[in-house]
Amino acid sequence: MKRRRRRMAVAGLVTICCFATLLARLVHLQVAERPAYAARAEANRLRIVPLEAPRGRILDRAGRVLADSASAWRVRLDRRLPAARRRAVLERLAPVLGVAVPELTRRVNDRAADRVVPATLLDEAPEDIVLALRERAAEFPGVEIDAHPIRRYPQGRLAAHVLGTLGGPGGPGRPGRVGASGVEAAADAVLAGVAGESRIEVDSSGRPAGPAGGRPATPGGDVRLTLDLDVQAVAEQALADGMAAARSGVPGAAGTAAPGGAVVALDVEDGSVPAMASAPTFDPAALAGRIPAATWAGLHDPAAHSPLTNRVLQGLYAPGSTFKPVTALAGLRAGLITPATVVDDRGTYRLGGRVLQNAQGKAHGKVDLARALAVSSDVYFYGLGDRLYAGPPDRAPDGPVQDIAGRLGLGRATGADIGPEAAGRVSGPTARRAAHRRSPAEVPDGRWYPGDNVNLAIGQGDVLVTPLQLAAAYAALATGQAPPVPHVLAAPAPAAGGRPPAGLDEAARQAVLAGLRGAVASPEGTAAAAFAGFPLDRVPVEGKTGTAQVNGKADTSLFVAVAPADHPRFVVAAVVEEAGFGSAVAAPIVRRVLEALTGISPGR
Amino acid sequence: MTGLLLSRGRRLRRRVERRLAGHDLVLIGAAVALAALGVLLVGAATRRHGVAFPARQGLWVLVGVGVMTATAVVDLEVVRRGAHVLYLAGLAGLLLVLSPLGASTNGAQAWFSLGPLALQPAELMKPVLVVALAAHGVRAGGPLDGRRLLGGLVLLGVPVGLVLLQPDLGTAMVLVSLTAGVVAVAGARARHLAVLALLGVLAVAGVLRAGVLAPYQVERLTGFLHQSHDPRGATWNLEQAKIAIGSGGIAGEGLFSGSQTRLAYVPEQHTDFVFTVVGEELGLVGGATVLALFALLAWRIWRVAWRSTDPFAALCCAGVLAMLVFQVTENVGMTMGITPITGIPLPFLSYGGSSMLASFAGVGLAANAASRCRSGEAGKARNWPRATGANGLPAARLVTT
Repeated sequence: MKRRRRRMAVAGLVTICCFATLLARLVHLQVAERPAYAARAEANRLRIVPLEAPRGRILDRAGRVLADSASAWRVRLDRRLPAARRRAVLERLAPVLGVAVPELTRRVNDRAADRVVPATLLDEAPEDIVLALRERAAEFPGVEIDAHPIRRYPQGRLAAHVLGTLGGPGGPGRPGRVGASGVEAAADAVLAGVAGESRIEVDSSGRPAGPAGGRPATPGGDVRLTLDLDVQAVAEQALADGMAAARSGVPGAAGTAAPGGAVVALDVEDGSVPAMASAPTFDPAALAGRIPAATWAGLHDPAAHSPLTNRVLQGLYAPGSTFKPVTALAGLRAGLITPATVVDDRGTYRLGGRVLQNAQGKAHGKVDLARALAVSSDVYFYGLGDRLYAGPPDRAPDGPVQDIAGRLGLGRATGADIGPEAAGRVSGPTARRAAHRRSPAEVPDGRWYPGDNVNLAIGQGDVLVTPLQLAAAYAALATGQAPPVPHVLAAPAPAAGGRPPAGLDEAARQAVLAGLRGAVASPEGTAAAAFAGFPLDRVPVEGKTGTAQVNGKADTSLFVAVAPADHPRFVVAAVVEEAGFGSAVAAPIVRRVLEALTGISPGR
Repeated sequence: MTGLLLSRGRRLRRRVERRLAGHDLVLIGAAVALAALGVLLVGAATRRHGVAFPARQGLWVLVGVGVMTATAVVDLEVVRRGAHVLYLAGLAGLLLVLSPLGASTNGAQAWFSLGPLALQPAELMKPVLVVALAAHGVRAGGPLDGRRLLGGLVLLGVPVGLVLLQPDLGTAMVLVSLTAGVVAVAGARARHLAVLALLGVLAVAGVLRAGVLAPYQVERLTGFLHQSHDPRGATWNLEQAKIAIGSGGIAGEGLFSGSQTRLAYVPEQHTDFVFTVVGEELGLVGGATVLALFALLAWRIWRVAWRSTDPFAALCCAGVLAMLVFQVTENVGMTMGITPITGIPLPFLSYGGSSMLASFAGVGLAANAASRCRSGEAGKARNWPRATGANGLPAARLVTT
C-alpha cells in the first residue's frame, strides 16, 4: 500500500507535468505565435485572382480612335485537371481550336503559374469556335470561356510604330500586358488602368469553395495624340509610294532596293508631331493576342528589314548634304566666308594627294553661299571644311562645326516622349580621341585629319542622325530657337514663353535659309523638280536635299523642308534607305506631306 | 392527481439517487461531456460531408455510455476472475483481424468491417490488457518480483506483437505505456523498471536507425524534432495542424467558422487531429477547457487509485490513468508539434467507435472502483476480504498494519 501510494504520487506528478506542458504549448501557439499562424491560415484560405483592366483608348488630335479595347473570347483550361483527363480533353480540343496537341500542351504547362488561374489556350477565339465549345461543353470538362479585354486597332496598320506594341504581363498586380514601345509604353501608366482582383476561397486541394470579395478593374484612361490621322495616312502612303518608285526606278534612282524609310513632320514651335511613319511597318492587331511563332519569326527575319523598328526614332543615317547648313553656319561664325564669298566650282577639289568630286562630277561654276546650298555644291563645302580644320591631327580642337551641330541638337537624343530613341553622333577631334582611348581596337587611330573635316562638311564620315533629329535641327534653324522637344502625346498645356534662342547669328541664319529657299524655288535648285507645280508663292518652302553614300550600298535619299518659309510652322524630314538621290525619292514624299499639312491638297 | 404525480416524481428521483449512489458523478460527467463535445467537433471537421459522421459518432457515444454503465456496475471480482478469458478473447480478435476476415485501410490490417461500422480489436485490447495486468499484479499478493514482472511483460508482448503486425505503432505504444503504469504501481522494483526503460530507449533507437520502419514513418516520428516550413513536405500535416491551432487565438474563430477546418487543410482532422478543431474554432478558451476536462478525469481516476484499498481496483485505475494520460499527451502534443506524429486517437473526441468504447470501458472500470471505495465506506463490502489477496486478512487490518 505504501509503495503503491508512493508510485501513485509519482504518477500524479507525471500527469501534472504532462498537462502543464500541453497547456503551456497551447498558450504559446495561440497567444505568442498567433499573428504568424493567422496570416498563414489566411494565405491558405485565399487565392487572389487578378482581373485585367481594359486599356484606355489612343486618339488622334481630333479624337479619332487609333486603338481601343474590345472584349474577346478567351478559351482556358483548368490546370487542376488530372493528367490523363487533360490529355483526352486536349486531343478533342485540338481539331476544334485548330491548334496541334503539343502546342496546346505547351500552353498549359507553365510551372510558374498558379493552379487556380486557368491556362489560356486561345486568346481571341472566333464566334464559331466559342459556339462549338458551348454546344459540346460536356465533351470538354475543365474548359472555360470568358471574355477578356484585348487591343483593337480600328485604323488597321495606321501609325503602328507610334502606337507601339505590348509586351508580356507585368507581374503581380498587373495581369494585363504592359506597353513595350511607342505610346503604349510612354503612356502606360494612364492606359493601363488599375487591375481588379477577385478573391476566392479555396480548399486544401485548391478547389474554389466560394467568392470572398474583391474589387472590379478600373479601365485605363484615354490618351490623345498630336497625330493628325489624315496627315499620317498621307505620310504613310507617300513613303510607301516613294519606296515603290525607287524600286521600280524613277529617274536618278535606277531600281534600288529601298528596303526602309521614314518620314516625320514636326511643329517647329511646340514640337508636336502631326505625322510619323516608318517603313516597313507591321500589323499591330497581329501582335495583340497570342503571337503565332510564324508571325514572330517573320517580324524578325533579316529579309523583313526590322518592321518593328521605328526608323524615325532609331534609324541612324549619314545626313549627307542636309548637313551643309551646319557647315555654312560654322564657316560664317569662324569668319572664313561671308554670304557673298564666291568659290569657283570646277567639279573637283584637291585635298593633299586626293581629288574629291561633286556628285555626278558636275561643275557648278561660280557659287556664293546661297547658290552653293541651292545647287548643293560639294566643292564649296570641301574647301570650307578644309579651311575650318585646325590641326595638328593629334591635338586638333573641336571647331565651330561641332558647336553649331550641338546647338541644333544633333548628336544627342531629342528627348521625344516615345521611345526608344537613338542618340546619333557628330564626331570631331575630341570625340575621336575619346573613342580611341575607350576602345583602341575599334578606333585604331585617335587622330583627326583634314580629310575628316572635309568629309564632315558634307555630312559624310563620322556623323549619324535620326530623321527626328534632322527635323528638330531644321526647326531650330528655321526659328532661331533651340530645337523643340518632339512629342506625340498631346501636351496638357503648351510651355509658356517659347524656347530659348539657339544661339545662332541671325544674319548667318538668314543667309543659309536663303540658300534653302533657292534649293526649292530656284530653277537650278536640287528640289526644284520635286516641287514643280507647288504653289510656292502661297506657301514658300525652305528645303535641303541629301544623298548620303553608304559603303557597299546605294545612296540614302534624304530631304528636309520647312514651310511656310515666311512664317515657319512645320518641318518635314524624309529618309529612304538605298534609294538614290534625295531630290528624286525623299523630296516628293516631303512635298506630299507638306501639301497635306498646309491644306494644299485634301488629306486623303 | 398532483399529489400522485409528485409522489411519482419523488419515487423516480429516489430510484435515480439509489442508482447513482456511490458513483463518481464528476468522473462520469467529465467523460460524457468530452464525448458530447467530440460529436460536435467531428461534426465541425466533417461538415462538408453532411451529418453522417457526427450521427455515427453520436451513436457510438450512446453505445459507449452503455459499455461504461456495464463496466461500472459489474462485480469487479468477476472481472478479475474472468480476466484471462477477456485477455484470450482480445488476443483472438487480434489474430482474426490479421486473417482475411479483417479489412485493411491505409495499409494497416486493423479493422472488422460490420456494415457501416468498423471495429478495431487493437483499441478494445487496451482496457482488456489493463484488466489482465491488474489481475496478474494482484495474484502476487505483494510487490512484483522479477519473475512476475516478466510474466507481465509476456502478457504485454503477445498483443503488442500482433498489433505491430497490422501494423499499428500507435496502439502498441499505448499498450506499452499502460503496462508501465500498471507494473509500476503494482510495485515492480525501481531497478527493474530502470532497466526496462533503458531497454525501451535502446529498442526505439534501434528501430529508428535499423531501417525496420519505412522512411516516411521515421520522418513522421521524428518530424517534430526538426520542424521545417516546407509547405508540401513531410511535415505538411503538422504545419497545417499548427496553423489551425495557432490561428485560433484566445477566443477561437467560432464553431464551424475556422477556415483551416472548413476548407479541409488539416488531414485526418476528425480522427487523430480532432484537437485542431478545438484549437481553431474554440481557441485557447476551448482548448484549456478540453485539457481541464481531461485533467479532471485524470484526477478522479488517480484519486480512486490513491484511495482504493482493493489492489485490483487500484491497478485497474493506474492502467486506465496511464492509458488516458499517455493518449492525451501524445495526441494533443502531436497536433502542437511537441511529440511525434503517430496514429493515436484522442480519447472521447476522435472519430471512431472502438476508441470510444475502449475509453468508456476504462472510465467505467474507474467508476466501478470508485463506487467500491464509497460503498465500502457505506458498509457493503461484499467481496472485500477476498480482494485483499492471498493471506485472506480483512482489508481493514491491512490498512492499519
